[in-house]
Amino acid sequence: MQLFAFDDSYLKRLRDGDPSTESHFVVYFSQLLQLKLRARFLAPDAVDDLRQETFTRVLRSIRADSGIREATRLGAYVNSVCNNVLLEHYRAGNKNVPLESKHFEMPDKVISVEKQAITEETRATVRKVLDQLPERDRAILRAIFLEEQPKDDVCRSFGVTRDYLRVLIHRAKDKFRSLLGP
Amino acid sequence: MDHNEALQSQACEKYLLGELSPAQRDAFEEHYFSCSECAIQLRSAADFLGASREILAASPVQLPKPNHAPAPHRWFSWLLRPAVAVPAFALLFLLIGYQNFVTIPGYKHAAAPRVLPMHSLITANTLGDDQLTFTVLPDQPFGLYVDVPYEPAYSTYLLTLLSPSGAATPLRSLNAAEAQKTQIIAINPGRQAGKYTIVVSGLASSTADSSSAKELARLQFTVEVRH
Repeated sequence: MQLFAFDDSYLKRLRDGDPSTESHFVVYFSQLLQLKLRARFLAPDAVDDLRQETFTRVLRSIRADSGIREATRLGAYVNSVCNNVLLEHYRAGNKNVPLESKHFEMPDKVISVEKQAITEETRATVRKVLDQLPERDRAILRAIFLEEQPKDDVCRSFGVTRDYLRVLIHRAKDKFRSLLGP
Repeated sequence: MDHNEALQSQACEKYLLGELSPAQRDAFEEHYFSCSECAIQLRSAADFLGASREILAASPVQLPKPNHAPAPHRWFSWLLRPAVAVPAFALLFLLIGYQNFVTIPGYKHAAAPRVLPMHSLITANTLGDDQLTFTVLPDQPFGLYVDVPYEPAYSTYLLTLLSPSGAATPLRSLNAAEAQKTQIIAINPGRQAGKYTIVVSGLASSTADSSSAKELARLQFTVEVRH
């Protein structure tokens, strides 16, 4: 992803509807919003709806006369708008939508060519990182993130601690980042 | 949550493992939306885990190799025999009872917060006013409000306590800013009643030798111990 600084110029371009800035803004915050919303165990449909609603409100506010003017607060603003959208969603009584396991495997509805290429590159790099991991660590990742076994059971079964899980993820992530490059 | 806190607490990894409390989760989210470095870390970890899930799902299922501990040698199995276990447990219960009813209440009493009785030396006459008399219980510490005579020529102030027996105990060293504020000094006279003196001396610099300190004031008070 092309890196932009969240400064006054960025905010102005966003206000003026500059397509590349707008696209960067949506790509940058999409994944963060998705992680945030998924951490609440919401169904993917709800995640998409709430993400869209957040973007709509943030962009509307940026373009309004009384909207956000402090570029450094942009991230915090997106987060707080998402919090409001989330609260409204809960109030609307949708909080008990059960999350089915198949939801996790649902592919994105729109996959761009660019995204496909990044995904392939990412996949190749991740494969490389996984190949370099000890077999036990791969089995731990499989148990937790694929088979979704309770973490305490996994720790007991493999004779590791919770700290080990964090360190495992931390190291794998760093290795992944270093292989992927800047 | 700031960046260092996020790094030190491994917030990113805990977030992805679902190990943060709701409050910590909200705090981390507030942070990573504003911190590009944490956002990149989180993105990388999420990308890695997402792709790993795909790859591991596609790869042949390998039998996990849990680290099953080998069957322990039963060298101490004799401990479980009733002849040994019953008296051992009885002893253990006695020990627990003693701790619960004697040791722990004792610690609680000792650790209970107490209010330090406070007296003031602010009106103490530097020429030796012996009118200030404080009555305390034996071994009970008390606090003193002390105003140090500030002089711009001195940057460091030494406070020394002289007991009735003449023993000198260094109390505190103050810088110029501290010397301009009222200080609270804890004194524990133990059971020694009599006339105490706080000697205030000034040093021109913090690195100067304490023997070169000039005496600026003597704050005197009398302690009576009520038995």
